[in-house]
Amino acid sequence: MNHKPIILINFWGLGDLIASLHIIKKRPANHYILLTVHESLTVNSLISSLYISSDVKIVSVKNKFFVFFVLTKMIIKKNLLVFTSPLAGNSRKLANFLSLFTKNIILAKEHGNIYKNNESIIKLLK
Amino acid sequence: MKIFLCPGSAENQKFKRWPTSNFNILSSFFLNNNWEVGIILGPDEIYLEKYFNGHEIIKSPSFKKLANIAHNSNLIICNDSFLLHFFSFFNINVLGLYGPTDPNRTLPLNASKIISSRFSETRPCWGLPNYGNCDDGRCSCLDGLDPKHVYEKALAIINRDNNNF
Repeated sequence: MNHKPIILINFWGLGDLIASLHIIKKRPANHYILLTVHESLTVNSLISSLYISSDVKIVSVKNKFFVFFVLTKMIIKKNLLVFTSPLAGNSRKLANFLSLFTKNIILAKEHGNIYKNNESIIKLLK
Repeated sequence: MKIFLCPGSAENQKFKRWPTSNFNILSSFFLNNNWEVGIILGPDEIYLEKYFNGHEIIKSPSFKKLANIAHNSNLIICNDSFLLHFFSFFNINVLGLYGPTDPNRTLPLNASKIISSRFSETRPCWGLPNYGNCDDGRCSCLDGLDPKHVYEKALAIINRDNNNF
């Protein structure tokens, strides 16, 4: 079990977010911080309805500067950053950029099935 | 037997919606065979209610209510939408209807799919400039999905389930 929270990042819609929640379902013992564009209340309610009882803190990020601030802080604290699938467009550019500054980062594949891509990430997590 | 139909999708992605007329035809197939049919409409889809006269309609359910529905259904049929992902999380029978989008990219691993037979050079269009509006501003990809074929696929899923017991 990792004692330091794992940072799961998904800036897409609620449906796509569920593909990321599979990671928590398969690795329930870890602590997570989930960065999302959705309201904390909504995501907490969603997580609860899916019977996920892991330690998950939701950080709702609505603007680019706050995203950058939060992620920079996580890099300094040496948290593991996991950019989950789907990962394309600006999210991918950001992930690629941040990967220049830390080795504690996992980027999901850009192409292919989003669930299979996240299965690959699950294998990398304890 | 209880089946739920989810004819909606995000308001800014309406092009993923199979026409309500087709959902009605599909529903009639099930009703004629004594299935119970429920319609699920999200908060942004309530206005579709008028197309489903005579049906049990579940409007704007909470996530908890949706989880409860998942455990009390034999099959749920959805467009490529939030509900497809949500219900698939429970390892129940879910059938996704695919037109403009690509099941190889978004289909949950335990869900079934049926894909429109209509040919389009620009399908799938996700990530392309013409996303959702390739055919004179209207997505026609779902035009090639016949209710009869969806019904047959649904029966195949249920029969597969029954044969496993």
